[in-house]
Amino acid sequence: MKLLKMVSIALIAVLLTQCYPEGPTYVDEVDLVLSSYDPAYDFSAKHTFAMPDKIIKVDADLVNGGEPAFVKDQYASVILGSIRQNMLNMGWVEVDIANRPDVMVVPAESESTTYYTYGWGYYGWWYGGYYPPGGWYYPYPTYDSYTSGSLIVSMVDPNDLSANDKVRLTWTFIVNGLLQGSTTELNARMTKGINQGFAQSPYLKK
Amino acid sequence: MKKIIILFSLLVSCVIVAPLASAQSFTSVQYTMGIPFAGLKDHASNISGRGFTFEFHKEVASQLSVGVNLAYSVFYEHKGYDSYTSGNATLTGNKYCYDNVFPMLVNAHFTFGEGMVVPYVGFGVGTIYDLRNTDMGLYTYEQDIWQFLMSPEAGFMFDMASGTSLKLNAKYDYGFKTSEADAYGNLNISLGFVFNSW
Repeated sequence: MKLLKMVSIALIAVLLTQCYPEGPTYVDEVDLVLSSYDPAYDFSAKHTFAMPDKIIKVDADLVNGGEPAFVKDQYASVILGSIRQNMLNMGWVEVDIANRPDVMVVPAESESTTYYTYGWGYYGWWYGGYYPPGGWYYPYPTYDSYTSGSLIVSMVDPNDLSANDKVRLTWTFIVNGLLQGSTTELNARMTKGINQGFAQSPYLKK
Repeated sequence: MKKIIILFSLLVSCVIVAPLASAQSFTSVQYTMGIPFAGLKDHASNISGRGFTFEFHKEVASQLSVGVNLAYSVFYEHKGYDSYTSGNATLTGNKYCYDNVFPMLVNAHFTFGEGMVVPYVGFGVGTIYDLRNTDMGLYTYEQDIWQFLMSPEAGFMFDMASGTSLKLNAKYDYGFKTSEADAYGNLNISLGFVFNSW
């Protein structure tokens, strides 16, 4: 009888440790694409676009008025190329900025690192590695971190200025995910996200 | 309101069970599978293999016992890579849905006859707490859902040894629709042991 009770409790204890089901396994499974547009804007009346040749990084320096930093060319060339190709595929015509494009497509990149603890340990050098019974040790958190990044692509109308000279934001999409993997893997994920951003924005099609 | 329901349920169970301290008691511990229905199925449609049920009963009359029933189950579904549009915004990604459900009941059982196999029926009322998470990307949308719960059940107890039975039962948890959640449905299939006095 006692054995059965013990087995019952043990089985539940084992079950509790196994309770949380599986979730994302690979980094690309947490990639997100969010898009939104200005429903009052007439996209069908616009045909030309221009793009910068660099991608600005939105970081603390920039926010505090410092000099802008830019995304490395090995990533920027792929991102800019992918955005350009999608715009062309949707029937837009690229022009030089001097030719007063209808819209400008402006990408920017932002990163953030999050630290989290997953346990507590003890410094090995406390008491020179000898831990007397009942002794106490200086605990420290064991931690890890992840860095997430967002590519923010905005379509603005430089010919539609507000009273305080702000350009009109007509469409934007954000590709968000973990910044882990090789250059090839990151570029592939970024390209997939950009393609998805356009795919879920059919109002841009000419 | 939610806390009042819980406290009321616990109070009722104490009021019922306390005077019966000398009566025969039954404690059951069971592994529980859950088949989702209604609003639960809309959120996480996979059958749950992660759950357990704990029950404590006191005999109040011949063939009739009352007590409390506490359970825990986890439901999960990976909805896949898909797009969700609301107004002028569209969000695309892998969607993972989780429901950690905690039904808490005051219930009664009526057994039929005696012997090696004893069938029974039961009914319970109480509340259910559903900690619902919808994960997309690095973000989660978390909801704390409380619903009034009614639970009919039926099952069998198989006599194994003196004071010990094997218990197999089906219990349907029905949580009433609230302003923040649709009606909740979960068919629990449980298997475990019943001990006469713990």
